[in-house]
Amino acid sequence: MRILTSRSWIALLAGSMLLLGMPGEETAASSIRAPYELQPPVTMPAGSVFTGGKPAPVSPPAQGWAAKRPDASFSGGQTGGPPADQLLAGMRGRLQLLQEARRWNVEREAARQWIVTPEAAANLGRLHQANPRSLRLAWHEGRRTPRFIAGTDLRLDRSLYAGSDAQQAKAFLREHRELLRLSDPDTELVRWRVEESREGFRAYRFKQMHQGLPIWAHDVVVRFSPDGRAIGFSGQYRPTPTGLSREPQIPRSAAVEAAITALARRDGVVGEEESNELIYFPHGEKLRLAWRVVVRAGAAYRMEVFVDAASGEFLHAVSLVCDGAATGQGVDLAGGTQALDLWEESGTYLMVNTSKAMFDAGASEMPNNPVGAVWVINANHTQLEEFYHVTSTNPDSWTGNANAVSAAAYASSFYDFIATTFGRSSIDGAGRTIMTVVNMGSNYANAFWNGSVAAFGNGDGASFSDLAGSRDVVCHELGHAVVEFTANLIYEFQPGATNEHFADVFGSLTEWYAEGAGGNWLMGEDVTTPGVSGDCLRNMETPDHPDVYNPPAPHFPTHMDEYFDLTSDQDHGGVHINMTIPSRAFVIVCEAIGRDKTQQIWYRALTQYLNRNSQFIDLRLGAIQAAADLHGAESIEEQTVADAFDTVGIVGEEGTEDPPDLPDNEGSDFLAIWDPDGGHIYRVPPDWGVDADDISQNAMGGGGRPSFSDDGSLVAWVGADDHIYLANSDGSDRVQISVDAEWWSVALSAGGRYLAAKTVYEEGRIYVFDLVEPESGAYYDLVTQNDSGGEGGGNVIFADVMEFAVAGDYLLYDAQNSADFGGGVYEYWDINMLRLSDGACFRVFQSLPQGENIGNPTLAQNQDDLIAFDHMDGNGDVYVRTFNLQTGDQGTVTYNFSVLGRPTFSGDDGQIYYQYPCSGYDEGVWVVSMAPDGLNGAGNDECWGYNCGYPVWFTLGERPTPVWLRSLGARWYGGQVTVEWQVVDAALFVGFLIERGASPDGPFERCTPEMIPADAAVAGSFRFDDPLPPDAANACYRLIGIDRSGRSVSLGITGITPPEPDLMLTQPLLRPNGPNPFSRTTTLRFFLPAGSAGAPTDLSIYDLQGRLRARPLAGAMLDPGEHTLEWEGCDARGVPLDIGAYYLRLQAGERVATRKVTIAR
Amino acid sequence: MRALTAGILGLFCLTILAGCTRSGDRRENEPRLPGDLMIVFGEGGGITGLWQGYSIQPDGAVLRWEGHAAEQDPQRVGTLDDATRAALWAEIQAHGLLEGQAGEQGDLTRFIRLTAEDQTHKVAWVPGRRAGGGRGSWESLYRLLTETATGKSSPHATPGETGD
Repeated sequence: MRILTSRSWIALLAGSMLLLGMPGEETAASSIRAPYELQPPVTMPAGSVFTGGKPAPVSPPAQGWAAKRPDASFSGGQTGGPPADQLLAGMRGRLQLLQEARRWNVEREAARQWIVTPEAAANLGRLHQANPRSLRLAWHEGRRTPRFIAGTDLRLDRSLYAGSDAQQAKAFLREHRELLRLSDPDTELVRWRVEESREGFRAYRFKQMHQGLPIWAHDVVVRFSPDGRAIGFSGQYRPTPTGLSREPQIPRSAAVEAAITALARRDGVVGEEESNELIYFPHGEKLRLAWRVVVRAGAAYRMEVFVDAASGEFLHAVSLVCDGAATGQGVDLAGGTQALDLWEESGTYLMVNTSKAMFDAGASEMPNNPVGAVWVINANHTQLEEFYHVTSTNPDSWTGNANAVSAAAYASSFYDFIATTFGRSSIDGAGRTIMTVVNMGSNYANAFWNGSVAAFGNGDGASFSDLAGSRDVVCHELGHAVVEFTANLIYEFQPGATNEHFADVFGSLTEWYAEGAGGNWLMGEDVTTPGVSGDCLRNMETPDHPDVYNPPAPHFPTHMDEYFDLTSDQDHGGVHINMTIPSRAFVIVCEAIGRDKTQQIWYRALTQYLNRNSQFIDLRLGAIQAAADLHGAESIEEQTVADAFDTVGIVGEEGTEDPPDLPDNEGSDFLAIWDPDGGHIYRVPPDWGVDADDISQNAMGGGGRPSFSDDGSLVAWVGADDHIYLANSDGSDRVQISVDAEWWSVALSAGGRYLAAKTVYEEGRIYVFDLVEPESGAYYDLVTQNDSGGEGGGNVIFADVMEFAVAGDYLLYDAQNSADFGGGVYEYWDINMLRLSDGACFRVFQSLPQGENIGNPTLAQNQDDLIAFDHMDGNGDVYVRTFNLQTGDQGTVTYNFSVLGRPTFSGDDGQIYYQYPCSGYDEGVWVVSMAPDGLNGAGNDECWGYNCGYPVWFTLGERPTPVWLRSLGARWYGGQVTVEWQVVDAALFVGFLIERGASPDGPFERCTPEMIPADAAVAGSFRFDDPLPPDAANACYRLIGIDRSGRSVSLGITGITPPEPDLMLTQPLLRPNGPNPFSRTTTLRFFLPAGSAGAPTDLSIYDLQGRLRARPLAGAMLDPGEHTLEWEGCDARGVPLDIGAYYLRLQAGERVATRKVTIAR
Repeated sequence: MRALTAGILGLFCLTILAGCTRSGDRRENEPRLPGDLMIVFGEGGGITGLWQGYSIQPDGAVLRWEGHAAEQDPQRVGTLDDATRAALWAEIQAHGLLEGQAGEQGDLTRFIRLTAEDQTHKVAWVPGRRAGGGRGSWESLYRLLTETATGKSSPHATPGETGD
């Protein structure tokens, strides 16, 4: 059964995350953006906006985020309010709840309104007391009810539990009714069925009723252990409804007729009524009284139809022809039999498991849009371009689909593991459908997580068998999903290795969970080299074990001393290699204090302490703190974790530092504002001290927000004529720089050299032009990184607001995305960062709930890791928010009702200016101070200016240059130029680049083929030899530092110093060897000066620990001049040296020269 | 104005933005095959952590590589003639690879890196995500390169084929 085309798989993913969204509805996003519609200009006396001092607001300034209502109409026209006594009762109840929540230490739940009565706070608190460290809870956010509770024993008062098991299950519901928000569980929950496992675990299912009527698809489960303890609860239900009528307005007969007519119109089938009943039907978050009519037409057509009992409106229809959840079994790749939870559709069984507590029947459209399922899909040997259901007509026979059986069973166990162990509902913690794809490609010997699905190849039969045949492989890939929805560690260098490490952790722990004594610390042993037994992909306990298949030479690292210092082009910095170092630490802790404690510590570290740029040291610090959180400071657990990291060489007390703030630009401050009357752009000091200057002298286009260079001297914008303009920031020397009138928005780089631009066309593409070297222009294709409601894959259709980081290597942008869903189009805005050096896109936020949009991002003036932006929630309310890209901290600056704020930071980042109507004008600019935390607004919003908009702060002046550089020089010697430098603290940098120019003013071009790593210093000095000396007499070099956030910083420029004459006679030179890194052979090049004549020459190889490893030349008597020597990377015995970095040392007489070489096999 | 004058800006009024707005249309097919044309493509990561792919060198030599990083341990597996390489060059231009930049990093990454006329262009993406290109997707170009390098097809047989 083929289900989808290559486009509609996006709809497949969208459906799995929808929160009861309606397909085809116009979203709030589409009613606001793309392109902007300018408000009609307000007629007023010319010049009145800009005369005198700052315009006074119409009403006195108000306090608080929402307290800026000069006019009641801006609040949506709401007047009056609830009765006073109702307000008082509500306030009293709230205060009592908060008191009780504080007493029971459940303030978080009270703040989130998951518990709403003092009794519920006490209930929850007692559960924590009775189940210390074993209580797991998950909440249904929308309904604020528990969706999952697990613990050692959830019975608080044993005396209440008497009688049969079923009666005890009822007792559980009564005892916890406050927490469950059920007024009368005895009447609201009616026993439905019971399931008992072989071991004696019992699950009692109850259907929810209201006023004697069933609530469709609402039920709960109470679980008991074999020895009678209540150990779990889960359910899809809602708090006791109120205010619902039980009296139908539409008679039964009319509902039946409406149902039959609706089906005839829709399906062309005229059926007849089989039965009917009155129920409550969930429609969005509300319940509707409805008639449930079963219509049948022969054996193959039987539909359940819901008709609104008040209006007669057709609500929904579901097939009853052998549809629904089913069970079966199948033979997996290991030849074992696996129980399967399936979905039956008209006599065909599909591998869609809807048995988990996360399944949302009301939101699902089966079988192609399950919400909260574990789903196995067949890629039919395509590159994920086509998806098919895995089907059988016999639920107990899956011949030819053994890999799907394995994937289904293992993915199900992963869900169970994280739900049971961490209380986590699926990979995103919110019941996201888990999708595994088998038969990826042809003989494809790999498996991966691509951000939406876990895909598994069939293997090549030699190196690997079908990758779905390994539980730890399947659960490793799903572990990536959990990482993505938590710390979201980026896939490079140590963050990437930590990401891979956690994936191995999840894979191995799930194996231990599911197989008990059959678990181990080997990864992929079931699928590695099918013809060879005993080997594996990785060994977490002993990474350098000889049974590891095809390790990097000489072996996977076990300690930081063996760390593979690779470039970004080499496995993104060795993410799949260095992962074994923290994995070894993890196993050490497991074996010392047990897996149960260790997995909780690691999970807490991942979800509470790590962020996307976390290094190994941050994992160490997070895990130690997590151990302290769970077991106490100075506990044996905390010490064990610290010792384990010490053992593998991950040491230190300082975590990854935030990048330092940029020094303030202390020049003249201005705000650029747009005048809605004529559409021109003006600049004005924040204090309105002087008249406003018209700097654009023409009308600004819909997306043409002005952008300034960092020193405020240049401005770029797009005019209403769709042309790009550039000018001095005082408006002088304006020039149109575009040829074709097809531009929408622009951004100018900090240095004023690069211009990012977006066309008016629907395309996910940003152009970046070099204003100094025009031929260097390029475009960047954007990939949707943010999952909003579950959409994956890159359907970026329009980028709008853009801003360069001051360091220049990143472009912050927002983009409109489009996804197909249910026959309609769903659009949303999100925010991303584009790294210009390689075009990599990074999401700023994780899954955006459907119906929400974020946009209009702006960077802080003095920090490239703090942004402000607009956030519109599903109700259309707009908040101006902040977000720290490094720490993940967020704040709320102001509540802006339904108006987009388009914020901009002040020069010292102490204020934010934003748009909001003011003084009776639709366009205005407000200002609010930032609280000391730098993230939240201080609540002192006030109108700064009216009849103006699109505020953009800029400062005319230069920033002082921080002192990073200690020395920088370049000398010409022996036919080449040697650039040497020292920095104050090399740890601030990842590496360096050298650029060469004909003059200090540029232009510069890069002359280092790759980044010089920050650990390449010899005796504190870095060095680069330029074999292509410049021709110009005034040639110079510019040093660029790449800091730990990836920013490029210009550290200095130096001219060339002529060499000292005597050095030319005595100083030997080591030229760059090539290739470097090398795998087989490299050519060593060196120069012997005239002064070395008669002196023996040695060429030696030392490792990073200073040990002599090879000596290609020993005591050779060579003539002065250039020499070359082929070296195969072996020692004197011909044994290849290990992969890694080495020092090459040339000594001729008394003089020595050194250079670093790298072996990469 | 600091470094730019209206006169200088006037120069690139004509050069920067003219014709820069349509991918795939901007650059006419070069009749001459660049002498330094080097194409490296492959994928790596995933559960195995291994990287594998091909390099098509300026002299037409086809190398297959596999290891724990890209381009490790290259082994010669064949040769492409100039006509085949010229056809690939045409396809590469049609896909807009020379103008585009795309850099995705994921659990598993595919990439195409091209060096021609002293310039290097690279695109990287995660399989299963939509990835752009002037005509069709990078995935379709990758498939063509793979099939050509392995001898399973020739770019001469696929002119005008649209990507997915």
